Amino acid sequence: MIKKLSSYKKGQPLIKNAYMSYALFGLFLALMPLFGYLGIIKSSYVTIIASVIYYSIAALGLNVLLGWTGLISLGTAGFMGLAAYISAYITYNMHLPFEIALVTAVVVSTLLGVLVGYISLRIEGIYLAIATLAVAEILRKTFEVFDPFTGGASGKPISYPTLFFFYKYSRADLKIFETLLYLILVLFLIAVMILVHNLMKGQVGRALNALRGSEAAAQAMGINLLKYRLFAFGFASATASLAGVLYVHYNRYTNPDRWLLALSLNLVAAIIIGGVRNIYGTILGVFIVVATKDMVLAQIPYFANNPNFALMFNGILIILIILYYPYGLIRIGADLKKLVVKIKEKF
Amino acid sequence: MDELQNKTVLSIQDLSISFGGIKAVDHLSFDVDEGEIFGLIGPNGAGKTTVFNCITQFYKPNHGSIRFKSKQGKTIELTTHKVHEVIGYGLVRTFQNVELIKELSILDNVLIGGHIDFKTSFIGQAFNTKKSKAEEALYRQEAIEILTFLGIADRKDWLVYGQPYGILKKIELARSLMCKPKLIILDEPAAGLNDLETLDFAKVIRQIRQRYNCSILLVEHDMRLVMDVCDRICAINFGKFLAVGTPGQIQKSPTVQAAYLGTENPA
Repeated sequence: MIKKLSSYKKGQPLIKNAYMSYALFGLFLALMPLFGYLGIIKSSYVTIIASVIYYSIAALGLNVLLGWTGLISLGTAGFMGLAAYISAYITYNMHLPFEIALVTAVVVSTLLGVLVGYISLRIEGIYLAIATLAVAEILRKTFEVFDPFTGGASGKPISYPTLFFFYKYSRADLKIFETLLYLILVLFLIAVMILVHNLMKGQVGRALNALRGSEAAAQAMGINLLKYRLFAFGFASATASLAGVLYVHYNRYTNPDRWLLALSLNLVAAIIIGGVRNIYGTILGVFIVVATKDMVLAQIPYFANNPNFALMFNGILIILIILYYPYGLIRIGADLKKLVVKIKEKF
Repeated sequence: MDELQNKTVLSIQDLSISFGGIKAVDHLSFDVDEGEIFGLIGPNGAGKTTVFNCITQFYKPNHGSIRFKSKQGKTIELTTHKVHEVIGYGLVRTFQNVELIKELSILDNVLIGGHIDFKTSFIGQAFNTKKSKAEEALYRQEAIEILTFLGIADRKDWLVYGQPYGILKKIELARSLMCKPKLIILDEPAAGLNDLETLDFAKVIRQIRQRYNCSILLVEHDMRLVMDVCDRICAINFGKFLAVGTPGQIQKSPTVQAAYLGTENPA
């Protein structure tokens, strides 16, 4: 009996190689449009899953900052919006290819993020949250009033960009472009997952863990606080801006109301619900926060009639998880397995 | 700046630091020799930990010099360096209240001690290059060797969270050994340990000196441990120097006795 338990504890995962699991996960996501086409899932679900993908990209970077480094940012929406507007302007108004817009938007917002990271050396905790919130609100207000660049409060509609430097959008290609952009989303998500995996399992991840766990020990072990805080903020804003760029081109529209504090808070909630310092947990969390409202709760008549009550669902979930399940819902699988083993041994 | 004499590894001269009106360390001077186990003792509030924090640059002293012979063989004025640069010269410390990362495994905690030895860039690590993998494997092996030496390799993959205090102290020690130090500063290594663990720790301290060929500077309240392992001891009180010498000399020193036990006829 004891032997059985101990052999289970070693926990042979279904897929041993982490990269293999990411690739399979990516393949699974990439098949969604096909499932939609074949009628296995509602085709509107593909759009919802796409939103889970770009918000997951932002949330993964935020998890590096919040989960691994232990610093809070409520500015994610601001950085996403900034990159979205920059990219929209470059492709739609300046008629430059998507790739150039992507690089420019990510670089500009990341530099701004690094600047905020510099502030984080002076202020901490709730004050840092307020400072990042202020940055995001300033950005949002700018989107509203800076008409020629952003289209003001009524928003900025754009068309699909030129892809791979030559592939121009025409009306006949609508379906192809939609699917192509979806696949690009999947590719970027998998790339960010692998990037976070690689960085967090090695020296950089340990350094960030040390910053969170004990600043004194980190410094005594030669970890440069400034360097790693800037890295964490830079990484979080880079992924947020990448997500913003993907958002605006997939939806072909943005307005200032898309980049509210609620979005930043939802991403923080997603990390807490799904799993702090866990890659799949982050995505599960985003799925719960972003998609359950439309895919699950909307099926229940009560929630369908009162969509705002869906927010309550998230709130209750956060409270329950912080109180009783601090490592997030991603642990549920492993814990259930343990339970099954326990029950089996009793009989 | 004068080069340090051939045997001295750390030389503190005229060190002073005050917090507001309180002089925590007051014109203190002492030297630590290479390969020596050196104890710093004093009653509660004497300023021992403050001295340590000054040496490791957590505090910047108001006055005085702290020279150190680095593992690169150069004499270095520590006060001109930042706190995270100190370890690069082969000077490493542990903490009075163990400072470990609870959510990481023991092995990962030890690997944090090897942080400065990693040469792969962020980019190299992001792409998990061959060089990055080789480096990780190399230091992982080294960390396991240190854990084996300290006798806790069997639990290397366990989380630090929930480990007993004696093990935590050993993990911190293992972490400090990762950088191949020239001088290890131990802040109350036996605090919170039972008699048996303390005896074991004394043995470990001697073994470390032998194996790593380094000096050890320690603050400790457990007088049995101090008298047992230290080659020389410096006693301080209220930040001021009292006496320096072998354990026997310190025990007999009237000024030290007065500081610890009080005098019959207070002046």
